[in-house]
Amino acid sequence: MDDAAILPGHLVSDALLEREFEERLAEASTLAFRVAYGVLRRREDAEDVAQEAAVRAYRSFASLRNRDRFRAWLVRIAWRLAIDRRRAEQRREARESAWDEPSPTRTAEDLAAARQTQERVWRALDALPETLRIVVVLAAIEGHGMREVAALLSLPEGTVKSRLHDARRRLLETLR
Amino acid sequence: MSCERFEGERIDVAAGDRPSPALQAHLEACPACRQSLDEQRRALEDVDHVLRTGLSAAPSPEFPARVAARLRETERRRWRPVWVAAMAAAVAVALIAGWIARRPRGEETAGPRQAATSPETRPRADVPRVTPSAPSARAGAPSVTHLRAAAARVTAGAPRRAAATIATEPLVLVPPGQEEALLKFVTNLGRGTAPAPPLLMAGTSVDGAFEPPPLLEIPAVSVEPLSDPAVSPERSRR
Repeated sequence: MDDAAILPGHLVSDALLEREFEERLAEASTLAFRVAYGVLRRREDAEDVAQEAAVRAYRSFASLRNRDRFRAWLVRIAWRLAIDRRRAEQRREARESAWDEPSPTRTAEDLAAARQTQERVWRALDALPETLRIVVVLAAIEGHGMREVAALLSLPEGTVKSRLHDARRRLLETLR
Repeated sequence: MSCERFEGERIDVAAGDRPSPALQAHLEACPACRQSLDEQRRALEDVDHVLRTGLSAAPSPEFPARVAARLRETERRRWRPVWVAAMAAAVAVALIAGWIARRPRGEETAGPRQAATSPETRPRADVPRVTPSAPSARAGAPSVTHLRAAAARVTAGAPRRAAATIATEPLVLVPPGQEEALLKFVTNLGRGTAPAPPLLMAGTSVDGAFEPPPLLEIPAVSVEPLSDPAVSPERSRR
């Protein structure tokens, strides 16, 4: 017999809600991780933050009015947690460079130069105001066009475009 | 001089803007600015590459399992929708109101409060006081039904976590004769076929719960003619 047939109504609704949460989390957790990664640049830290974001979302999921906004909601939670952690810990050294897989054809000098470029870029990104930084991070994540970023941030597409332009301009000025 | 004039616009162009005709003309004539623009474009390409590569990082394979474990550890918040609480409160209020409306008047005079004010029936200290909610209360007094007990019958065989949730249910005062209605309500919940609140209210026979209050007995008014003719000249004439 199906559980729903013997469980009281509120427990059935709990189970459905829980299932819905799991499905939505599975779809959005990697994005939450990447957003956190864009701030922390350490896989472990980013995973911790994404986990914490998931827990917070879980606790308040029932009170979320529009569950179709879950993805945007989770991204905002992860972003805020990552920024807070970054500010609290102030860890800027020893950043993971897993994204820069060493290529056998590259020389040590090339690798050193690439690492230096990465450091400069991330530092320039850190110097951006938060409103611009989140736009740059979301737009850099694969598959996110202006429309997706605008939807995630609940902003008009035009605002996202102008913020992205402003951010790139500032990045250039910093990297000059 | 003109190179400095175009510096700001050149950055905009590197960031994606179209050059104005003036800048376009300047770029065609100035190799230094063309080179500078190329460098800026390359710098932005580097930015895009670093960010795209960095932000394509995936969480570790153990990440989903760790999240699931963390969620299991998290104290489960009760996700019962608000309407269930509102409905329970409404049913409780209806039942209590029904009980109050159905209380016979004669019983009230013999109730514990009245008895305490009468010297003949004032309770003795050595006699235990009977409250309406006690199981041994007189007939007609409300009985106390614990939802946990009722629900336990319904959810016998249900997963253990069901019992754990129900253990926090409150006590509900049930007027005599309404136990069946309450059990029917709990049974419906158990079958997962709990009707919507309005139907539930109809199913608990609200009509029976609210009996009209007893009519007041007003003694007949006796009319006596006035004896003083000065006060009522017409009557004195009759």
